[in-house]
Order: sequence, then structure tokens, then C-alpha cells
Amino acid sequence: MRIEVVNLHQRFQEVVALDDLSLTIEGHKINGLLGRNGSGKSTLLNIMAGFRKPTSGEVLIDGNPVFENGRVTERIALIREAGDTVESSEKVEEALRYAAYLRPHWNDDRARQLLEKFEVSSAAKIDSLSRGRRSALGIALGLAARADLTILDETYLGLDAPSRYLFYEELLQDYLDHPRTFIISSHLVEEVARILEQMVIIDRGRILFHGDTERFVSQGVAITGNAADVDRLVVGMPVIGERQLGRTRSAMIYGSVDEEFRQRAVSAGLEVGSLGVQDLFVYLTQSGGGGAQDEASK
Amino acid sequence: MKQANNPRYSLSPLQSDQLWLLSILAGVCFVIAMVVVFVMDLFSETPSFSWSVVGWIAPWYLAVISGWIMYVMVPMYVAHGRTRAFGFKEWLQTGAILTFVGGVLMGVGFLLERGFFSLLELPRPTEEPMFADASGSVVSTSAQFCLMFAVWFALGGLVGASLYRSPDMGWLSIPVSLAVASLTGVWSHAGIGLFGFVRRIVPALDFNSIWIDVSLSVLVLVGASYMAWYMVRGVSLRNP
Repeated sequence: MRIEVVNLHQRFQEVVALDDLSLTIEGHKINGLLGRNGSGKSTLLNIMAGFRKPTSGEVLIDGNPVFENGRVTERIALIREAGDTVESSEKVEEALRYAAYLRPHWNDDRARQLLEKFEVSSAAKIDSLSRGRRSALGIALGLAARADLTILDETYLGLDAPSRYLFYEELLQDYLDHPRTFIISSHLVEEVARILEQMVIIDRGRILFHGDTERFVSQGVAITGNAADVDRLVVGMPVIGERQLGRTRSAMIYGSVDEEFRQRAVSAGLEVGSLGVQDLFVYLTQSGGGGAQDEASK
Repeated sequence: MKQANNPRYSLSPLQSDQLWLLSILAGVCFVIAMVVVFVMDLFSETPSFSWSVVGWIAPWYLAVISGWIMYVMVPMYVAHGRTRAFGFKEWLQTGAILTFVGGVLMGVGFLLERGFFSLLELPRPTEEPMFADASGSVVSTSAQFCLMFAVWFALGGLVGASLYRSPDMGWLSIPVSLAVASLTGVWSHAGIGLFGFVRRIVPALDFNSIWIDVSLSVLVLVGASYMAWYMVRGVSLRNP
């Protein structure tokens, strides 16, 4: 599957949600779409799934436009938060019944298996479910749809930690059993990054980073050790954050470092480690990318 | 279960649910209507058809169901990977099924009620003046109700689609739709019904021709359906 986002622009009155955004996603991979609140993530996903017509620009799936194109939209499952199911006064069973009718590759057994794992009764009324259980219903509807492009937009909302880990497990299992393209939008950057192969970071409707997760992680290092030695080593480098405990300091540096730098650090008795995805994410999105954006997107 | 792509037509979950609900409601209403006839006979010298009350309520019911399909079900279909055109088509099909079955049930209901009067040897009331064609034939009665239901279904869909697209536009569409419905009703030919007064107070509208009524109804039916499609075809899904 090839998803092409071409010069996408979305304006809501005076607010620009997507600003001439272009992006290509290829192959069966688990992609992450990360960004702060109001960065344009959900707008992009809504347009990608044909839920919204953009102000200008277009989204193409394997070369075909998405909006009101049934042959394309039936290959896409976008689950938003707890899912757009039947009316909340209906039972879970009804949601499964309609999904079976509307989704061409629906796997009812898989849906029921997931509901059982997340302890959601199919006899329960949807409005009687907790937020976490509703999220689980959304996850079941999304994964059991077996759509070529499965998009989960903040689907974990309300799930506790064990349920979120179950979700990651089930997602990976589903991906291994039926390889397809996933896009996962999340605020839980550190947690979700473990399962992502590719990452797209957007801010204010523009792309800050798009590439392999590994490459993203290699964009930053943490130098830890004696405070004075750390300060001496990082002079002139882009320090994006610092932490200090007693005389031990950890400086976070944006950008990759060469072997010579590592040797100097080790010689000074300092430790060179990788930076957390969340720290990098916070830096990129707080600074709006700036010079780092060009560096990161190389 | 029938898949949405299956070229051989069978009822969708929405259609089978609504048909089932309509049949149950019609059955319950008929039983109540017969009890009312029986009770009225005890206190009145001149009984009247009580099934005609259902003819008053049914268009409202169909309009609400139609609006609900547009407001709730069509967006849900889009959220499940279907197009707005697919949802609209199913709304049209559901409307055709419900108005046809509803019309037939109305015609049959009057027939049964007349039988009930005969069975109880009650004096048969005069035909309801609600019909443009007061021949009393099941086919004519059913056809008139079919047309009236179709008009209300289309207008209900227009209101539902307008409300989804923009609440302001939606609320405005309600009085406009009711005014239009009042002008087209074959049922309001003799001024009966909630909005029949419009035709009584505007003499120019009292043209007393079934063909003008039918033409006007078809015009509104087509126009309202097209307007509903216009509202739906490019609409963005709201956030859950």
C-alpha cells in the first residue's frame, strides 16, 4: 500500500490545521503519528480516511483519491478514540452486527476474542461501558475489520496500563498474522514508540520528522557524569535539557555525535547514552522544530 | 449476514430492524384502535374510524426515523469505510420500503376496521374526509398514504441531514419542512390534520384536484431528497 498526502491544506475559519503538508507512507509497517494537542494529527487522519474533504490538496491510496471513493474507503478503518459505533444506547452486539455488514473483511471471531480479552460483554449496552471498555470496543472494531490501512487515533484513551500493554500485544500479533499498514496516533510517545517502525511528527500542521524510529532515537544523546566534566564536554553543542542530582549532571544533546566525541567522553569518565523518545519529541515540538527540523528530516 | 457489497439484494440490518419495528407498532396501534372503537360505541351514537388517528401519527414517526437515519446512521456508515453515497442510497431504499409497507398497512387497517364494524354490527361511520379519493378502496387508500409517507420521509431526511451539517441550518429546516408538508398533504385535502388549516385559510390552495396534490407531493418528494443529498454529499464527520 502506498499512501500519498499531496500538498494538504485544511483551514477552519482563521485557524490553519494543516499547512501544505506532503507525506508518503509505503509498505506494511506500523507507523506512528505523533504531535501535541492541536497539531493537526486528527485532521490529517480524518482526511486520510475520507471522513473530511480538505480545503485543498489530496490523499491518494495506491494512486486513487480517497474522498467518496468506495473502493478505497472500504480498505480503510479509522477508529477515533472509543470508536464511531452504533448509538450508545445500543448493545455491543449491535455494533458487531453493523461492522459485519459494513466491513468487507470483517473477522467476527477475532472481534469476540478481543472483547473477551478486554472483558467487554457483547450483551452490555455501549453507554454503560466505562471509557476504557469503550476504547477496547473501538480496538476490537478496528483490528477485526482487517482493513489494509488500519488507523487508530488515540484509541487507548481510558485504558489502564495493563490493558494498554494488552493492546500493544494484540496489535503486534494482528500485524504478524495479517501484515498491513497501521498508523497509530498517540500522546503516549515513550510507550508507543517501542512498537513503531516509522514515525511522523507533526506540529502546527507541518511535518517535523518522518523516518525510521531508530533514526529518530539516534538524533539525541545524553552525557552523564561529573557536572564540571559534562559542562566542559558539551560546550558549543545544542543542549536541549539538563538534569542534576548532587554533583552528577546529565546533559541532553540534540544531534548525532561522532566516534571521537564518544572517546573523549569515555576518557573523561562520562557515560554516553541514548536520549528518550519523549525528550526528543518535547524538544522538537516545543521549539517548533527550527533548525532541528531540517536536521531531523535529513 | 449479507455483506454490503453483495449484488443480490436483501434487507440490511437497518432495514430489517425498522421493518420489524414498524410492524410491531402497527400491530399495537391496531389493537388500541379497535379497543377505542369498541369503547366509543358505548358512549356515542356516531362512531368514527379510529384507525385514521394512526394516519395522523405515522407521518411524524416516519419523518423522525428518516431524520435519525440521516443524522446517526449515514455518518456511522462513513465511519465504517462506506461512502456518503452508499449511506444515502440505503436511506432511499429504507424510505421506499417503509413508505410502501406503511401505506399498505394503513389501507389494510381501514379494511379490517370496516370489518370490525360489521362484525360488531355497529353503524358504519362515514368515510374519513382525509382522503382526496374517498372511494374507500384499499389500493387507493394505500397509495395515498404511501405518497404522504414518502413526502414526510423525504422532509425528515432533509431535516436530519441539515441538522448534521449545521445545527442552525437544521433548526431552520424544521418549520420550512413542516410548512411544505402542510401544502402537499393529500390527507389534508378537507382541512383535516395539523396543518390542513393552511389550505383552508389560503383559498387559492384549495384546488380540489387529486392530480395537483399528487404532482405537488412528487415535486416536494424529489426536491427534498435532492436537497438532503446536497447536504450529505460533502459533509465532514463530526468528532466522536
